[in-house]
Amino acid sequence: MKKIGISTDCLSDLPDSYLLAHNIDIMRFYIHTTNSKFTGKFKDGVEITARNVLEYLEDGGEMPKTRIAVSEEYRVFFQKNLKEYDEIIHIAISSKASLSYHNATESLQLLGEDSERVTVIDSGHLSMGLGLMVLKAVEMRDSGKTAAEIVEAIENMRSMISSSFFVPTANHLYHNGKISKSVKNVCSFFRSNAVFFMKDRKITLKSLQIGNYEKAVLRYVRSELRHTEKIDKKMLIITHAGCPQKIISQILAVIEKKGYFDEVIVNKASATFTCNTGPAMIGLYYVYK
Amino acid sequence: MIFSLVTIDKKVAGKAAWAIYMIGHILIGSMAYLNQWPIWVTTILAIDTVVLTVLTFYPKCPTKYQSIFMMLFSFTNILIFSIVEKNVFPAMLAFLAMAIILAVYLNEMLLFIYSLLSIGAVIFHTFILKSVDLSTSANITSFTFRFIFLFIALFFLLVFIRKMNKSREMMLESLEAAKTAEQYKSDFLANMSHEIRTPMNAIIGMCELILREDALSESVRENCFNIQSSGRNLLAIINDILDFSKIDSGKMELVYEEFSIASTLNDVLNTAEVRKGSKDIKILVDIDPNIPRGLVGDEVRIRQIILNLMTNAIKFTKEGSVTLTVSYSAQDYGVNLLVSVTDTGIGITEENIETLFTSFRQVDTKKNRSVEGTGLGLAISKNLIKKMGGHIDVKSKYGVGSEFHFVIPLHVTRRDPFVAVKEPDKIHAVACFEENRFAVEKARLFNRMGRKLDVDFRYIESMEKLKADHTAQHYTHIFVGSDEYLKDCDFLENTLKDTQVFVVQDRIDDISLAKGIQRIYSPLYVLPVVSALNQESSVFNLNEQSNSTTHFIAPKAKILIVDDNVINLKVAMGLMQPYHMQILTAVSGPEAIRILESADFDLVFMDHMMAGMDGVEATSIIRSKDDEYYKKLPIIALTANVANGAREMFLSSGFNDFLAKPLELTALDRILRHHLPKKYIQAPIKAEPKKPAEPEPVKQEAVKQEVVMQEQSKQEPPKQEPLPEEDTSLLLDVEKGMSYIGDEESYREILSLYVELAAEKVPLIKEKFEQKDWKDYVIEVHALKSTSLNVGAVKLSELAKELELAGKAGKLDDSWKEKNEVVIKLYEKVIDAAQKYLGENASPQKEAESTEEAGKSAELTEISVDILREYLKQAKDACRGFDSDMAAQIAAEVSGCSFGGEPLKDYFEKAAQLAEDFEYEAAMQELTTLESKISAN
Repeated sequence: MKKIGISTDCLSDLPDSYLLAHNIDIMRFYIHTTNSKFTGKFKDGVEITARNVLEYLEDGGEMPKTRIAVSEEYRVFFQKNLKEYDEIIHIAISSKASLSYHNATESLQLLGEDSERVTVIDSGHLSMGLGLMVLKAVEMRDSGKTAAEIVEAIENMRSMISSSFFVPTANHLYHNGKISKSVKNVCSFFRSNAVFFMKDRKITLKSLQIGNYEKAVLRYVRSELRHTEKIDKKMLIITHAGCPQKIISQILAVIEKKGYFDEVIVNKASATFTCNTGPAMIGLYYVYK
Repeated sequence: MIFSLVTIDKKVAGKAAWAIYMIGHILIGSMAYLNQWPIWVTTILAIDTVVLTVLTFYPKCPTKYQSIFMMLFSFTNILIFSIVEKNVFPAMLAFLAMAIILAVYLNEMLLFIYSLLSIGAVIFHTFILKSVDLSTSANITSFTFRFIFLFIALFFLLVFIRKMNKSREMMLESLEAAKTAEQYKSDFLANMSHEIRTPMNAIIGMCELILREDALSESVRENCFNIQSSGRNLLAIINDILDFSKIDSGKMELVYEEFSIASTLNDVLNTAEVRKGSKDIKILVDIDPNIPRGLVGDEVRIRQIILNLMTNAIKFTKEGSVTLTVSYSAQDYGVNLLVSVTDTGIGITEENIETLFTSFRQVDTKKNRSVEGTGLGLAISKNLIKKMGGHIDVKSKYGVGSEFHFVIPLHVTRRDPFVAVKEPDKIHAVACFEENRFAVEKARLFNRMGRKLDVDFRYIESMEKLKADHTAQHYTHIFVGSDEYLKDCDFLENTLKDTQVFVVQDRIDDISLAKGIQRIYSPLYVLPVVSALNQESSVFNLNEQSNSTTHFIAPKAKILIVDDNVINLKVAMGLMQPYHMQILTAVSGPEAIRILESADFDLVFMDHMMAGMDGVEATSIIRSKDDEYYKKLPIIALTANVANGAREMFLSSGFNDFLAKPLELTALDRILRHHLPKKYIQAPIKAEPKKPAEPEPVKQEAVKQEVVMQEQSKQEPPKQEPLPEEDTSLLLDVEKGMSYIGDEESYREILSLYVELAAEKVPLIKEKFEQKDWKDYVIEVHALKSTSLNVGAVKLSELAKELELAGKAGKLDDSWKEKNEVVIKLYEKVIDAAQKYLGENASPQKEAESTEEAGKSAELTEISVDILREYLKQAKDACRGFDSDMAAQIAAEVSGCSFGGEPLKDYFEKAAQLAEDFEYEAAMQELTTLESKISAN
């Protein structure tokens, strides 16, 4: 039986403990932060954490920028993992939300013959939307499925996942090139909280939530979970970036009131995703039936 | 902040005013077009539109110009309108509207002029142009009401602006007061820093000296240790408060310099080991040897941060381990330095992590009541890291332990590894520690160390296995713990023929090792390991340092210490004593300059705050000299003032570095190692007696000494030698001189220097007297007084002192010529005696009795009433200023003097003693009694 390695990008927001427990390697991206003396480049999760990014923003630092891994870095990453595994399935961020998928596939050309042992999947999602796919892949690998079966299942899963997130400002998304200027301007004009979701692999504006942050967040959660009958009740994942515990508790109360999900996981966003969304982001991720 | 808010408001208001003005403009423009007003009207309208728009939106244009032009243009426009339309009523409304708009500029004078112009324009229209129909009483009433309304409205507008301006002024005043208060706070902190740290220097330093004594009872040693320990804790708290204040006020400046991480880690680990004490904690260290050798950053602050994290980890860990990991990642700008400190302590709950880096906060205060600290350490560290462009975070599991990790981006000057094994291929090393607790961690650390150093380095868990392996493997180096050594010392000693054996022991263990077995103090990490593998004699890399021992000796190094506080000099000399350097001291800037002109030194420690010429000025004079030597001579500032960017100030003032008071051995060690010529640094001689010869306790006479050479490289007790001729003992008291200087060799050296200088000094003193250059003359006789006293020429010193005091009192004139000649003659005789002494190779011991007799036979110097009054004045001033040191100095000076045949020693010494006991009033009383006696006579 072939040994299958599962890897993903740090934007999957999977916690380190889970990654370690299930032998999942992740490609870490970089974040640039600037103070008066120095612009430093730090590796997500190793040299900089989401908390660092939030504090940096709170201190009024220049908007941090993210830098994805380049092809050469992917080549080294895959080569390292190929020493341990016969085949590798790398689940990348949505190709229309980042160039990482492109860089990962380009790196395959640098691998020569070994490239056949690596499959790069365009998840079409980010954050825990991508994370849900990794969870599924790991589950299938551990149950003895082949790489081809896993790849097929993950490809099919793309349209079954709902990835959405709520941000108080769209400036960070725009600054990191995730949305267009016109979308940002719309949000700025109405001084509104915004909800984005993954549609056709793109980060798309879903709605504007005008008004108080607290109320708007709860409105977003209720709206997302309006049609629970279509959602797989197995798991709901809440990912947040520096969201106050009070708000998380209120969201959990709303979900609990519905009494629908078997498991609700609260997860913290990675430094890279925090950079992209800015503080006080809340995301909801689940799988449709 | 308030000021900037006001500025922003005015600018925003200016734009709002422009917008309203433009609306009015469009209206007038439309009227001009519809009513076919003359073409010049529209031309004027177009011009002012362009000018005002430029003035409003050009960022560098002050709002003042915009407001003036807006007033002029609006007035012109309204006037044009009223003239063309021949209707003053709409103009009155327009005047009022425009006045309201102009009010946003808060320019009282501008509005006042505008109001006058508006009212004037209405009157002009009404009575000169007669454009207002006043034929009916109704019209008159209507006009009067409108005019009064305009007048009152403008009046209230002016009052409103005046009030606004007043409140704005008050705000600015408050801001200014707040700024001044902030400045006072900073000044207070700077002063507090100095005032607290100076006595702390004495407390901690003196304790250090006492602890070095062999003959101490256990209780005295313990008490002294407790005083020192409390002193250090207090100092740490003061430093924390000062650092935090600096960060808080944005005055914390970083100094970027090239440094090697080796020195930083060595200091941190030595201190951490000391702080760990007897706690049942193992310090484990994992350092990447490939970290570049030349990093650029604020090394002092980086050390402070790592030490803070290590200290916290040790504080909050009762048992287990504290692991320091230092690695790096290469970046295009240099490196990211990654440091993590992991402990097996009490851990932190999730909610406490959120507030952990907040100022004044110590988490779980109930549980940690026994742990000392201000709660500022982490906040300071975090802010320093942020200032360096880095980040810090923590992972923790309550009850299990914590990991603090930080990253700092740094530039790099040298990319080669900071430590490397010379011949890695020839190394086949093994480490064996049987202690089970950290076997996994140790195995991991040693294996990684071997990999990173590219040497064959194994880890074995039992001595049995090591013994079995050694036969086949033939290890070149064996590292074992002290327990393993004691267990199997025979085996280890037998391997010494072709293997080097190193015993790693805790500082608190004291085991004797067989010849050939080498000792390394824990923690064992890459620096001492590489030093051992490279067989480097430099003890720097073998981290042998304890609380009161030094890394190295430098007997050839010549050091000058300059401080006007004799106690500080004593402390500094005491601390430097174990380095066996040749130390010279000076008590003033000019004295230091003179000494530097006459001899070469390798390093100068200069107190920055001295009476008269301070250290900064003295350094500036030294640096301004033509000789290249003076430009390169390392000068280290000694300072108790560590606040307000003192460091930058010292570096920019020509100092090479600075050393904070109280002097810390670790810091001193670092400075000496960094600035002394490498060729002078030697490993300490292990076979020598534990303590080098202690200098004589500083006697009262010696307190005033200005030049004291104390070579500490000799271990033998000073030999006493008789003078060649009995009568010369009056000229040159060798024993007394040696008691000041320490040993015979140093004495001979100083005496040679004294003789050498005399060739220059004798004509100089004569010349200055003849030229009546009393200022320089006093300096010369002052130097003669102190140098003569130091070599034992007591009589000459006393006479020179008399001349000096006369000079200081402004009494010198031709009548002193005879006395000057006496001094010169005596000086020459002393030189002859000194030359004679130096010419003698043999130096038989002098009988102690002869010294005593010589001492007894030395006559007291009779001083004049004026000189005595001057002494009394100085002593009283010292008491008024609560300066017991100065009182003691004066007492020492007066000890050889008499007035009216009566010795003065007892009076002044009693006063000095009272001052020493903080009985300043009583000391003053004693001096007043003497004063009354003089007056009565």
